[in-house]
Amino acid sequence: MRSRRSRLRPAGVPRRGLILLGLVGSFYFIARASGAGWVIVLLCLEGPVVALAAIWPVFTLLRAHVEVLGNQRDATAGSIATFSLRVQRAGSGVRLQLIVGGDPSGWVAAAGTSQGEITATPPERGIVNVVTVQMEGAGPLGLVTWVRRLELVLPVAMEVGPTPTPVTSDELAGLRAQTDEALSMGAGHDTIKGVRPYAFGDPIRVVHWPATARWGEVMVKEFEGPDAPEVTIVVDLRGDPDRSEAAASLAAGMARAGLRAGLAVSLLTAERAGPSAGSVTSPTLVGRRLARAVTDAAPPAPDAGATVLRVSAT
Amino acid sequence: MSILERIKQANARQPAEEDVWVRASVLVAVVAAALAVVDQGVGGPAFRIVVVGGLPFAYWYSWRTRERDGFWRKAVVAVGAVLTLVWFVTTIAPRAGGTFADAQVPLAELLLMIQVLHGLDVPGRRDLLFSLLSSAVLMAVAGTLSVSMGLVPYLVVWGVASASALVLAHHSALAELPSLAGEPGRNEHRRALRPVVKIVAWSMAAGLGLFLVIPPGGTSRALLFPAQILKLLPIPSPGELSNTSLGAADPAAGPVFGAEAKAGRSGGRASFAYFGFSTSVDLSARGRPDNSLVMRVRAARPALWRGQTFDVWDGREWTMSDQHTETLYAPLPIPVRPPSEDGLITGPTGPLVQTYYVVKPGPNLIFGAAPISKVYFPDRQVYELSDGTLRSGVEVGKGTIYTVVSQPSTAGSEALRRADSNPIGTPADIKDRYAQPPVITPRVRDLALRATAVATTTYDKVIDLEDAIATQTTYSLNIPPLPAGADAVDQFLFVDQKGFCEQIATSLVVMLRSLGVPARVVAGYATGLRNPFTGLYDVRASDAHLWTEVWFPGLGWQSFDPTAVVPLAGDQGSLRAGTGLGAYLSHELSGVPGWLEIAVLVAVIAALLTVATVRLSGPWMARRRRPKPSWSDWCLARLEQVGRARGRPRRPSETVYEYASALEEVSPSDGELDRVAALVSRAAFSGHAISDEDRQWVERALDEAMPPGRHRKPEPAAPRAPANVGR
Repeated sequence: MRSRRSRLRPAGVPRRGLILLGLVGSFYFIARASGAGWVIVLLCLEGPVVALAAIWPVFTLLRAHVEVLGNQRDATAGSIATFSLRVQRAGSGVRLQLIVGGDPSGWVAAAGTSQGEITATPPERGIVNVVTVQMEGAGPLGLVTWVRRLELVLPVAMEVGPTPTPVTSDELAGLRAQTDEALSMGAGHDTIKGVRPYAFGDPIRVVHWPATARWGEVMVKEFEGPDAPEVTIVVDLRGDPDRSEAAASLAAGMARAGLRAGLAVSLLTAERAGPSAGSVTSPTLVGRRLARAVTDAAPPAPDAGATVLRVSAT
Repeated sequence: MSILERIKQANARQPAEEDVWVRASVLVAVVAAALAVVDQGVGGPAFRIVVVGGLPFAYWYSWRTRERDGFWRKAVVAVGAVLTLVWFVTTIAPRAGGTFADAQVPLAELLLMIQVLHGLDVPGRRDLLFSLLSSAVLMAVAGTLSVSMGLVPYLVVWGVASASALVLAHHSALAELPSLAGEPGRNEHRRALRPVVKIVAWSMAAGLGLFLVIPPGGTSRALLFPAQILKLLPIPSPGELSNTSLGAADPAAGPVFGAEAKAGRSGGRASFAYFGFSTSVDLSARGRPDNSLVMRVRAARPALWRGQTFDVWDGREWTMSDQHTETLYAPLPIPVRPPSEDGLITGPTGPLVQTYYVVKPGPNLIFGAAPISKVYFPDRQVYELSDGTLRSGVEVGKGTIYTVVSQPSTAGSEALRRADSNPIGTPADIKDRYAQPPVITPRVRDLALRATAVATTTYDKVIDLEDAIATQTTYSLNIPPLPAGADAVDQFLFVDQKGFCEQIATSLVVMLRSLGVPARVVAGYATGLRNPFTGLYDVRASDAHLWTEVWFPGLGWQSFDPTAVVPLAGDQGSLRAGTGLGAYLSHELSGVPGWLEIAVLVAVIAALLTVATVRLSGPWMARRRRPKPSWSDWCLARLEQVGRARGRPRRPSETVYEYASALEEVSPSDGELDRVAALVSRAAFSGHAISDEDRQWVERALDEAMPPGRHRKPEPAAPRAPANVGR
């Protein structure tokens, strides 16, 4: 991906470089005071080394090319997300970290041309189109460090859903009971529309053993019918920013709990493009919908007669 | 944070440096620096063994114990450091009142011992880098003490080892981080050291440039006044002139007769010495000093290093009328004031500090730019003649170091022209001793009168006579023997019309005296060739010289060198450290055979051309070597492009099948990508081409799998030939 912006600056006060510079200055004084020609020679060798140590990393960082080869589309705030990076022409080595939404990842080292994965944790919900790569170069002498920050456009916009709040509320208890009843009636009679990975709370009877054997992980059946009880979650994020995020997290928790309970969950949110209403069939879709939800508009009104859960930031 | 906390933080245990190559390169740099110091004569044999053997042992011990807490080790190092400091103080205490130069060697020994002790406790990278830094200080100490090119091998080893240590330490720091590309390869150290060559090359190139523009070391007001003598061998007769380098002609060896006298006084000698450093200068003697190095002189600007003067001329030989000496004994520095000049000098003077490093035994003359005002001579006793000549009471052997502070006149030509009108005038004793009518032939006197007919000042007379001599004669070291009874000046000016410094200086003095101008000849050394690396003037036996001093009222004795251009008063000397680099190198290389110079030049050009060719042709060769991509390669590249567009790049370890399955999970396509993988693998590995229909299907499937708006063809374009995937 092409970088949008780039900024180069020294990384604080280069103590080692300053010490060496002080040494060079002392040598000059000694040489002038003593008339020792060899000290001048020494100074003439060390001076350029200090200069090289200060300049070389600049060229290394300016020459280095970083691109995000790929990234996962779905992520959850506070959870690790993986990015595939390629660094070219990094010379004798740089260290770099990825900053997603202000939170930096751990440092990794890259030399020459290298490619690999780096993990970062998006701190908050939202759509991430751009990440910042911070490169630090001090090589090859390691005396003066320069920093270059690059803003890179992601190949695929990353939709960061909120961290789901565990829902143990009694609000869902009745609906869960209905669902269990419906499932018990329909189990073995209804058409399987697909399989999905096991999620915490799935009844053991819905495990699809052939798929489990094939995929190597526990898969559960998804039924087309009988009609699962529907619940509509209205997510109104207007209000205090902290409360908005808490509300989004609660909505995510409720939606996931509903899905686990076998409910047909619909989310009503406000997005940048306007009000959005629609069912969500997996935690991934829940995350995407809530990632897109904005805090400055009202969600659409629910259909009359629907079972509605309201989650509000106010 | 309090100071105590800061100290604790600074001394907190650092992670151990596990890279043995970092330690090894730091050790090499430290040992090279220590050897460079030791090679300057620092420490006795036992001390040298402790340093040279102790450093590797200390680093080995530090490596073995790097993971331990090290409290007791630190305690031992601290106690050792305190004891070393106590030893240092007790060593220099008796020298209190001396100069800073007296503390140089004990200070170097202290630094070496601290370096050895510190080597016992260098577990972490920061400790090692501190050692590297202190090795730079040791190199500076060695540079301060060194006066020869013997420092070069140590400097080269230290420089390369230091650069390697810095590079490897940085590499080691990076290696502690997780690598973006996974585990480091086997040849990481070799790769890490690649920049060292570039660093050394760039540093040397930039250093040479800096060397050519940076001011040289030393100023007129030095802080160091070294004085050292290795053996105190008294002169047989204190205050007398002694010159062991003259062999049988040594004036201190007593009278010589017969063949010995002829060999010593009139014939050529095998000795390197100049026979002008005797009690007389016989212009009938022929012989040439060799090119051996006699001494090195550290001075902020060039000058003529005066030894002694001669005032009595008999037509063939110069002698001294007064050899009475006055003993000067004092704590250093020994003050010197020429008695004849007391209160007579009112002109401007500037201090010039010179340190003489004697390489070959010579006369017991204390050389120095005239006039000398202070002497730092290790014997603390010198003898002064009435003309300002200084002699030591001991032999000046190899390794002797002494420092002289002079106050040479800074008067320019205009001041010299005005000197005749100075009310101080010329003292009678100067006139009586140096301006008496000399032994001279009529035609020489006529030449002097003719040459100075229009000159109105003493200075102009000197210049006109120099011009006349230059017009009348040419310089040559190969002149015929002086016939018996002939006047040396007349023979030089009108018969041979060629000669060297002795004939030229004598002619000028004789003609000036014939005009009533006080003048004398001076024996000493010309400046010598400046070694830009050491900053010292290398004075060789062949630099022995005779020149002229002329008395100017109020300004005193002024040097004139009619043989060559004399450094004028007020000469600033070298303004750049690298001044004279070309001349020095060409002089030093003059002994190298011509074929070797050409061979080296050809080798350097060939190496540069090879490097340039490889650098320029590298990318082209790489392109040539790259195999032509097959249809399978193209398909795989296309599949990877599809994956990246879906946010799922291929991992290095994934096979085509695995990758296709992973993409199906991300974005199901009814198993189309699985089939694509199967066909591509079959085309690559089965050894049989797949049908055109299958090819078209694969290409169409890949096109359809690409998200809208991302239909960029991967490079290179799809070929039609079956080939391998090769991944």
